[in-house]
Amino acid sequence: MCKITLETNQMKAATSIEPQADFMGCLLPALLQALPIFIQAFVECLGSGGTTTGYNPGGPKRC
Amino acid sequence: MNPHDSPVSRVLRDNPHVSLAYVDHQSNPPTLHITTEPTAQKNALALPDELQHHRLSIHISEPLKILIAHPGYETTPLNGHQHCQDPPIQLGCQVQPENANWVGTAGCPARWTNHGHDNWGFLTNWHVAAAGDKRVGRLIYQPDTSRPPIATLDTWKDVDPNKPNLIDAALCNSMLSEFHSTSELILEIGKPRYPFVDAQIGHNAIKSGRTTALTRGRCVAVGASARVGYGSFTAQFDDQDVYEGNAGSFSAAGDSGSLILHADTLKPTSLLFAGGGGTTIGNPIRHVAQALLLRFPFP
Repeated sequence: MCKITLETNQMKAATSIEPQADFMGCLLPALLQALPIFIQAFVECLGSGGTTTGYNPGGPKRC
Repeated sequence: MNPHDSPVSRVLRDNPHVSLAYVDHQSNPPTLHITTEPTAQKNALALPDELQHHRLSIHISEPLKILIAHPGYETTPLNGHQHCQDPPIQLGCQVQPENANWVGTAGCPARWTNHGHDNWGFLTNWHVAAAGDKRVGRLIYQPDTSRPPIATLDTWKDVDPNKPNLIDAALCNSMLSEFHSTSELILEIGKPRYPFVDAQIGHNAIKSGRTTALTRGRCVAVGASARVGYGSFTAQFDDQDVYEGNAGSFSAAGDSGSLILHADTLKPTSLLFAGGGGTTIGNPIRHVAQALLLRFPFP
């Protein structure tokens, strides 16, 4: 009835759902299946601060 | 269990001549390992009821002490960890705080939150960067005070001589002007991997420090209690990780502040702070992260 493709390495989910797909039987399980991937990506993003803004390595020679 | 209520913690509290105690639960029956001063007698040990039926293994050794060094204490030949570096300065290098006649190691790239602000710099020991002049903004030099400073003391947890401790740690902010002077790399190791992990008995360990540079060893105990000499006082530490070198000593004076990593994964396990008699003691990095609000990974 529906085809779900999860591209875990890229931390994204792509779905291809045929017209007759029902929410409870197809889309909801797919979303639940993808949830851990989104949570992991969110946590990693938080852990890295989202960006490296604020860390600015370098400076003049001192030796 | 509260680590300060553990049976091995009580062994240290009840036996002033014992410097290290831990239980090897992998042996059958479990073995209580005790390191004590040469003058102590086996029958003088006071053991809690929970440990009465353990096999007892007593080691006679010198007391444990913090691993700082005099600035003039050099290895032969002088290793690169004692050289001046241009920014970005790789860690595992020698540092000397302002108004101090000792040197230690800037061990681990670190990021932390203080009063709502993100800070970047490095992790070392309280007794390396804060002792003697506990002051936010205290200058930290590399490799010693003959060169410009690289960081300022920012955050620390005091070591208490009157009650058991978990960590001996301090954080130094490496931004002195518009740049951060320090790198996210450690000399001879590279970039640590995250998340950090707990030390496990038998795992291969690696560290990069001021005096002995890159050394390899293994974890021989976790959950240990240790009594450590600070010169003017001693302090007890509970729930500590214990390491031994594969060939020779895993650490020496001047290596205090080094990061100990799992050798196979390069994930941090412990903050090196004391040693003696062929044994090296590290604070579990999870305790350090929790107490000092460390944030990982470093960008």
